[in-house]
Amino acid sequence: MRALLLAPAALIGCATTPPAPAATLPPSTPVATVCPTTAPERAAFMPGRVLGGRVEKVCLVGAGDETSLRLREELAPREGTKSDEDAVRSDLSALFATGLIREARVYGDVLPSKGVRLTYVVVERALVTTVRLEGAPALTPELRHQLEVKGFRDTATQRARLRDLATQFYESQGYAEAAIDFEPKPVAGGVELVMKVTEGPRFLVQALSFEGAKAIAVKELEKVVQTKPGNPVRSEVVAQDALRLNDAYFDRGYVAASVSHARLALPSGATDVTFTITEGPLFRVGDIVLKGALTPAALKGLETKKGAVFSPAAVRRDLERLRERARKDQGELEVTPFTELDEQKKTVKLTFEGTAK
Amino acid sequence: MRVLPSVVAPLVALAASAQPVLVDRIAAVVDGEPVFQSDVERRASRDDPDAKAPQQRLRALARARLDLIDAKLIAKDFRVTPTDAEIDAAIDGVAKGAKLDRAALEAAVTRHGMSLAEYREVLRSQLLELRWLMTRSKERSVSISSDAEREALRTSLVVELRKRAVIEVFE
Repeated sequence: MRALLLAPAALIGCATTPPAPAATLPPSTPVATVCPTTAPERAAFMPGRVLGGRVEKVCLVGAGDETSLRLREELAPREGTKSDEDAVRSDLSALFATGLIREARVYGDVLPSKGVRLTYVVVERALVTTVRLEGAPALTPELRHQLEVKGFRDTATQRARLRDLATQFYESQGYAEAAIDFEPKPVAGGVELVMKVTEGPRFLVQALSFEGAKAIAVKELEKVVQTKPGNPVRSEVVAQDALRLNDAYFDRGYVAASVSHARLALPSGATDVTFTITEGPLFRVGDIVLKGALTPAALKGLETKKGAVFSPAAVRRDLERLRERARKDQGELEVTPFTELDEQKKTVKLTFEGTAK
Repeated sequence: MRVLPSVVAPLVALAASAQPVLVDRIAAVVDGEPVFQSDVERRASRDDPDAKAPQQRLRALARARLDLIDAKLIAKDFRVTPTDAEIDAAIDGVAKGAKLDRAALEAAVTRHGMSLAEYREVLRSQLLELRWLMTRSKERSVSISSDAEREALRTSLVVELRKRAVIEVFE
């Protein structure tokens, strides 16, 4: 029985107002004017017990004086209003959005007056007094300076920002396995955030090869790709290089060519990058058809000719020619190209369709 | 059982009514957007209505929280929210599929402890996820004709989204 009587009394305890046992409170005692100093140890999720009741008191617990003042600004004055879920959520969101806290809960209890007391319990985010880098010899002094910031709250977003900054650098330098962890260490006035970096090997391109390349000389392909021997291996650049090679073949009539890429890295980081090319057959231009608002006369001025090696670049130039010609003769036309592959004949049928804008 | 003295009994009643309850809390944050415990509780009750034992309930709550985090990630990745008219059409579709008229469907929904507004939000979220999945499958030229394919693509997409996002979970 004592335990049951003590629980509410502990909750209404306040640093400035000594708690009076509930049992001795005269009816006129303004219980609602006091706030608890700590969060309840156990409280079931039962919002229905208090939502809908008239708010008599709003309390804020868990933050230091300075932070409390700032957080108080975010809490809407709800005293005298009906407590409801949306209002509580709005307050929780506003508190969290300050970036000053890492947890926010709201408890409610029914006062002897039948009014509701809402108690927002927050956990402050630690103030990072310094960021200290551990195990990051490859970092440039400029980047170190950017990372070793101070005087911010330890939020997941801030950590992600620091991590992204370092990760971008490491990826650009070929440290594809660099790992970054954070460890906050309490110091006077906050925490020192230790940024632990495990750089791992530096992957540099040792050799570049183009397997299956026959129609285009290797020397030419080497110019197409941005991956070069001696440079850091960058996954996204290697992937883009495969697309560049594909385009190079496509532009030379190898419209069915495909390019894949593979890397073989030694423990030292020296890496062989191999592009495997399946060239496929050479395609030539088949019939060229003009449709819609395009007149047959337009065929004359086209660079693309039947029987020539199919070239998307030439088709693009022809599109411009057709639009320009139409502009002079007929007015603005939208010209759309359509292609149709004939796998047997190894030809590409081209259709240009003109529609008035 | 010991009988309480008459002077103590009313105080016990007072204590019981004054016992604080958790009204809500931030259960997780996804790229700065909170996931509320009240939504987690509702979702768990809806998806795992039979999880009554404490351990079962805890598992259901953890599952519901993760589902809500994923729903937020998907909504952020695919910002085309279904309109009210589309939700109405979806409700009509569900009613037709269940061989019910609209009123009977709505009655069934409320019988299951869900308000119509909540039901509309559930459908909105499901519709959004379906469209997101279809769009992404087209972009990647991946088939989602079977449940297994759909689930596999969803899982891999959600894993990618989780990696890109800043997610904080509060126990």
